[in-house]
Amino acid sequence: MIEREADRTQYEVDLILHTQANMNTTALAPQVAQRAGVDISELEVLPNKIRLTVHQDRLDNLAALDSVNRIEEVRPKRVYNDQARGILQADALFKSTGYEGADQIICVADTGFDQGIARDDSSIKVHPAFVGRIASLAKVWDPSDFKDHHGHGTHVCGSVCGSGIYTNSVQGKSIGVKGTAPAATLMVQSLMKFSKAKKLWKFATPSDLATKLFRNPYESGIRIHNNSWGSEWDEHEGQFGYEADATAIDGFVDKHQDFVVLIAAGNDADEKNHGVSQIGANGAAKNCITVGATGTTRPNDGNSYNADGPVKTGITNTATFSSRGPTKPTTNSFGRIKPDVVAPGVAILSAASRSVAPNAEVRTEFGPSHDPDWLFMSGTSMATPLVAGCVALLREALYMHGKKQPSAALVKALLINGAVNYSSRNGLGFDFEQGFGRVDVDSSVVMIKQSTFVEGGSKLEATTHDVRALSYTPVTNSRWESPVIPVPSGRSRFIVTLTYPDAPGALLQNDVNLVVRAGQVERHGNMGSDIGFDHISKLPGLVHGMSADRIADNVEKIIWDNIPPTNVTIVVQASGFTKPDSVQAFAVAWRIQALSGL
Amino acid sequence: MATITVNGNTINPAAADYVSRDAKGYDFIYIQAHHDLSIDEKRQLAEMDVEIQEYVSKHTYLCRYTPDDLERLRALTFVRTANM
Repeated sequence: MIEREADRTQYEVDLILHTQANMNTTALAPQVAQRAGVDISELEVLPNKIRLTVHQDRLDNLAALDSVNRIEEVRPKRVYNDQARGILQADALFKSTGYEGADQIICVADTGFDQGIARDDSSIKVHPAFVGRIASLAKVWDPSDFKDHHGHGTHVCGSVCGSGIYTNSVQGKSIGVKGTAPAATLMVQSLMKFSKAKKLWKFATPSDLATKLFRNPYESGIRIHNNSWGSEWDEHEGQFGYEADATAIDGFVDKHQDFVVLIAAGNDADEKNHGVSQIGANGAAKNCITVGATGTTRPNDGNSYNADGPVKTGITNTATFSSRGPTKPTTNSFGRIKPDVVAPGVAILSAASRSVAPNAEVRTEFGPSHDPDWLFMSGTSMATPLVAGCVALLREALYMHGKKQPSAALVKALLINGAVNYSSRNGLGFDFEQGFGRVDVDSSVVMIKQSTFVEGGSKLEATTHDVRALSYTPVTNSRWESPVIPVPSGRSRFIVTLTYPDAPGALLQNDVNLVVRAGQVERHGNMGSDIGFDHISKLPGLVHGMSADRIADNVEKIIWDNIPPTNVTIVVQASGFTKPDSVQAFAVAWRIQALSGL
Repeated sequence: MATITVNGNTINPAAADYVSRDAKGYDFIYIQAHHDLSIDEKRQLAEMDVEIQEYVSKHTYLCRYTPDDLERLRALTFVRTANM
């Protein structure tokens, strides 16, 4: 059954139970140990799964256990920055919205923070870009000293809310460098695990993201979680499917619908055996925001600063390394649209951890910054915290406009509806390298200010922006229709996005469709001007050797140019629920642009 | 029987051709229908003690079903197969 490695017979696997299994993992453990032929003390018993290392010949025996839903291989994880020569990043990619993320806290799970302390003590001065910015440092592994020897975590934190002065000592120039939410604060979770045997710290994610990564921040009141990490690329496997991390993310957000999880798409588009699509594992989750990378404004060759050359990867180009979607196809579907959005991720200037040695490779690996407190990095790791900061701005704006406990679906809908795709050649407004486009937080904030959004099925509040959830009881509740939306005379572009949380599972569990009606004419989500739902006839040249053209997704967007300006309504229609008594939350955001100005 | 994903290989029981005799001692089954089930068809299954858990493959539902008798499910016109 396992063909790849002739000399490998032991596999570390997760046994994942059914959500309503007859027995819990503790009761099941003795049977698992016996069937696996291992001592029970070698099992890691978690609330809804058991992790163990087992001989491949025992897998069938374990799979026969009634309570076990599926068995997945445990894969190594890594952070997503890339090798690149640095350039001076003059930021200002996100215009000022007037919001800075005040009262927002973001949790960053990464390689640690700076020198391992949140505030100055008698002998250690915290990196100046983070004065008053670190709310707490939270343990995931024990022991943990929170020190960022790697540099990645501090750089990511700086992109969220760092704020300081960078002085290029060679050029003698000083500039201010800020993250996207400079008034927000952070909880930093260190994912560095100490190996006593090897006497070193290694990056590792916990086996149960729900209880060991998300629960503590959520219970502390945090609603934004940044994950600039994912599964290591394996050239024999190729693209990962929907695996354990995706289940954990979707399960947690489905149960805590106001928790926004951001996931870096990965940097595997130019890895060995990269194939057509690379996004998978945690990035394949349905209820997260998967972030890819675009380029930069300065001259570069795609990876390096090149002062005399052209801009190869510009600010509207997708970075060559940024992992592409769609998610891995199944028998029923082409895959889902990923990434969700993109943001700059080439040669990003941000804070340098003071735990990185003066002669460490990371200081020159990414190009010399000539300022020891700052350094350059590239990767979808860098794009993700920029978007996390934008999420903080949107949550602040929503709060100021009466929506104090917005769902993650609403935040995602606002982000995606403001984003602009620059790479799509099929006229649909999305593709599989930029997803729904590069974030433009100004456009998203305008929708909040103009109240052009609704949230359906909130259990947390009932504001003027809230409507009921979708359900089939009675069947009249299976659709929501907006009031007539005034569209100005003249030529207009109508843009609308629907998102909704879906229960865990590789396939879409509940299918909901987005429709815009203008008089007698209709447009359908992700379909362009084609009729029907959930399929695509203008595929952008992707071939998986499949005839399926079905794209069913829990994110749908419509861009309608020259919309007839009369009797415009938005309809959200349930198309099929796996569980007939489902109560389905959703969110919609829309905006209108005058076409003459474009 | 659970699906196994190791080394990129997923063994999906819905694709296997065997027929389980009955569901004695097992509480989880896969029902493969001829089409995606309608709400009414799902409610009909619910009245027969079938609790749908997850949509796992084309027209295929993972269900919790504590009775032993699979034949009464197979007798339904919209059910193609019902197995553990």
